[in-house]
Amino acid sequence: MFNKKILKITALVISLTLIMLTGCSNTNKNNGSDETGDVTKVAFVSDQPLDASEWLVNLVQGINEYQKSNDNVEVKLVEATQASEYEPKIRALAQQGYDVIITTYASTAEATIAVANDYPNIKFGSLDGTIDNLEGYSNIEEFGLNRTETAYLAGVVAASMSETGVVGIVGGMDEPVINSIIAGWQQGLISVNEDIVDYVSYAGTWTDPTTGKDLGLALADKGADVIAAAAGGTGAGTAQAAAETSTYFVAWDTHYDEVFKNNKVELGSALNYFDVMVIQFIEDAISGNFKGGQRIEYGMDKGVCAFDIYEDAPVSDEARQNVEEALEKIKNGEITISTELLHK
Amino acid sequence: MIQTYKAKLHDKNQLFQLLGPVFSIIIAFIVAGLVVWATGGDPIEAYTVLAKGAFGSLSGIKNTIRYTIPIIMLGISFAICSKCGYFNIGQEGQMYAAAIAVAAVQRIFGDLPMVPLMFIMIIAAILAGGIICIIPAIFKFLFNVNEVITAMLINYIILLFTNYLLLYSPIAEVGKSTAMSIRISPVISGSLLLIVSIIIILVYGLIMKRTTPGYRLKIVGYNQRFAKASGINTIRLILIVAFLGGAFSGISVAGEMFGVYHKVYNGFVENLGFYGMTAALIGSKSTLGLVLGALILGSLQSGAVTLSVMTDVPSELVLVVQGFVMLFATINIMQYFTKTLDKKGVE
Amino acid sequence: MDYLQLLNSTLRLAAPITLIAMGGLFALKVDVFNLGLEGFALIGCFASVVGAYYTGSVIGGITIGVLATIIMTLIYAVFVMELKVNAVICAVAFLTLSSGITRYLMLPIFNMSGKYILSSDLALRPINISWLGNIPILGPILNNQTILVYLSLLLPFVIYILLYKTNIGLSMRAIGQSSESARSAGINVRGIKYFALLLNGLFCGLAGAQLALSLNMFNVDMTAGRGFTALAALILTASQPILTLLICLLFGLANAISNYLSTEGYPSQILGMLPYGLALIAAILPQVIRTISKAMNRAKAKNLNTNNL
Repeated sequence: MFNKKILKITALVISLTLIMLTGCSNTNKNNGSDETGDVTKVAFVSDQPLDASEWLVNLVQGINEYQKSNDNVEVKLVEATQASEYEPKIRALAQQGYDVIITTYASTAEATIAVANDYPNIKFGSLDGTIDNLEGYSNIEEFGLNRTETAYLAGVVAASMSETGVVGIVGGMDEPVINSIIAGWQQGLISVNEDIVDYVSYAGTWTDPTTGKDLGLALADKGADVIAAAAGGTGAGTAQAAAETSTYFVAWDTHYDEVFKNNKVELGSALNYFDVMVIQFIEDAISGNFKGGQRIEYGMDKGVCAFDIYEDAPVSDEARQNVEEALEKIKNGEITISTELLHK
Repeated sequence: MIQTYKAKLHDKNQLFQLLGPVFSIIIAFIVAGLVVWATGGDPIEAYTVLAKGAFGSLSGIKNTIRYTIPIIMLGISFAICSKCGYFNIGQEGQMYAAAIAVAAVQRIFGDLPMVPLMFIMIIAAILAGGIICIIPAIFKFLFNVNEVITAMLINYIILLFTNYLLLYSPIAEVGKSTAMSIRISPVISGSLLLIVSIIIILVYGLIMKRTTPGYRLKIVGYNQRFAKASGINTIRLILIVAFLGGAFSGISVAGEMFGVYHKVYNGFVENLGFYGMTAALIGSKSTLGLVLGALILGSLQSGAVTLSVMTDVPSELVLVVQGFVMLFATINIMQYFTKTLDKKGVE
Repeated sequence: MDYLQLLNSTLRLAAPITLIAMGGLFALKVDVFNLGLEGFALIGCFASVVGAYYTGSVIGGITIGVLATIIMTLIYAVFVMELKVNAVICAVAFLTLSSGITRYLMLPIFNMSGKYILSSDLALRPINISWLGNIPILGPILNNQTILVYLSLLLPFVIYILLYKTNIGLSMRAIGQSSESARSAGINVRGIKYFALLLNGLFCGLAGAQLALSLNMFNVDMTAGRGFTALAALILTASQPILTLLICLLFGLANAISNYLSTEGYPSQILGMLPYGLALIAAILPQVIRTISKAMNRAKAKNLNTNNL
């Protein structure tokens, strides 16, 4: 009477067992090559999909090129997009024998700490992890990009080029990283024009260019003659809005060459060379310069980020000069830029 | 009951329905493998790694179990609701509501010692999930509003609300870049979670098969009018079941919080609701089937962890495989369903 | 606040939703609950960008986009009608699949991941009709939209005529009511259902093309929930094309207002909740009123009042 049911269950169990058997047959290819040679195995764990934002895409490209020209380093790029994956993936990497493991942002911080405690010989890098009691973890070094400096320069150029005295910026999300960018932007703006009116709009999404475009149009409609976007894919839509309304545009992380092909209104882009920074970190870690328990800031002086203005960008000489001067002052330490927003 | 079993035995579809789920899952893997191959990957390698990742090591097995547990809970939630004709697609909203409730308890009662705190949190999660689940049911069964649309809209609203809370509420961990989370203090070990979950599953299985409420539920599912005629208070039963469905969603959240995350994250729910649905469909005739279906989905997720670590196959592939599994796993169930129904002339 | 600009935005933002809704309308009319409109529109987005990329023209992009979506929708149709998979489950599966596949294929095809920006020559440009722009008030609202936006405004009327004034429309509605009766009346149920789903694919493909090509780019998951919004609109209006158009415009307006207000500093999440809240109320309220009035009618007297909708 229960035959049918039992047979059905057995069938399911058999299929599962088959899967398990293939799982348990351990022909682990990696076992042998772990200790061979001086190849340093580095893993980079991103908490966003590797295609989510330009800076990540640039990072991937930069690292791949670095690997091609450097045989002694092998970098593996891993996505851990769901919170449930953070610790398992980091742990799996540690078990696989990676020498250096880099994780991104505060979301993965806990997982990083947990695994770091179990593997004291592996060097861990946390990108902007904002880890408390960092000193207690001798094998974790936190590092981050100073985004406020390039944002400041962006603000300078925008205020210099704005004739209406109204500008606007579209931010990806209302969160600390973007807010530090906006903070720099705002301070840069008022350094040139104290009476400037600047609007801040949070798109709330990194992947919706339609909304980005609409926000851009809304800003332009309010009288902004310079708009900016630090919002990943959404920002591409804002760039479109700028091109359509012939409003000056300031970009982040990339130049929108295609968008502005027929209407060159892009003033410049705050480029962040995450790949340079990460490569720097890797080389430091390999060469013994690993600073466990400390936070290292990478800024413009280390060539990690820059505000890039094309030769043929529609930036006036006066504006260029303002940027030069601001850059000097930042380098001299005359200006300190805080990460606090002036307003939302 | 014995009569129906004998009748089913004599059905010529026996063999077909035996192999149903297994067959469909194998087809799913094959089709997904084709996609991998068509875009230059190596499906055999990918699947081997998946399998190894899920079962090839102790931590792999732990991961598999850890991913499977919430899917089972959600599967149960979906299964009991669908038994009385309520298509419970609002699980995402229920989970977020439960998460908010847990976070709120943390905020208000955070100073209590761990055990009573956990207790209150579980109650809060159950209540929150249950209430959210019962709302579409009320509108469906009392006012004839399509429950899918109410549930989906509620999902969106709750999702947005949760994001808002995570960003702007006083307990959010601001100042940490992209953290957007709220800390939950009770912590229980993974094995304790497993034991509790097993107990819950066993109890559920027993109640469904052996007790009067379980039987009543079945009748209501088959034919509401008949149920009413035999004196079962259908509306009350359905609403109670809807609440329970939400309660299970809440329990899954509580489990995740205590045993795994210890935080309320932005987007921690991901696709769990759909996995629960698939598991329920795979195991539509037996609790064990549901568990095994959940196990397959859980092992896919756990294997995906090592997949990305050991190969270059992108983790989107796992999404594709899961999509196919859902697709194919449900074909066979429905075909079996329509065939037997036709034979019995119920429709 | 420039109201005209706001309304212009409304039309632009509503267009993809309206087009998707028109597609979904056909599925619903023949009783197929296609929850996966979001996924099909996403495929439309992706395919139209791929098409534009390979054919080097906007028309090519739109065509390929529509064709690909139609193929996917027909596959969905086969699963639902031949293999008898529950339409909702199948739709959910297609949602996962389309998101996964469009992401997955970006690298092999474009050698880029996350998003791909086409040359701006390939953008679906807004058309500036000078005499239209000169009409007071309506002018600036209606002017400067892409051709697909204009289509989205006219299509519901065409569909209304198709559904209520032609034989095929009648057949579709009959099938929706009861496929058994339709079959016994000699209607080719299967054929018409497939046709309806083909139209579903057609319009979702157009919606995708509008979303992607008007920005000449594809971004993963760029449909951003619009498919579900369209479905909500359809259910609210019981798939009545003209009412659906109005609701979609309303959603577009809510979207536009929300965007505008976010530049004033209001948090976008709360604003975002409003259209859904409205939709929820609009979904529940009519039914509640209907049921209560039905109950009241029944309780009143024994007259055979058969005016139930």
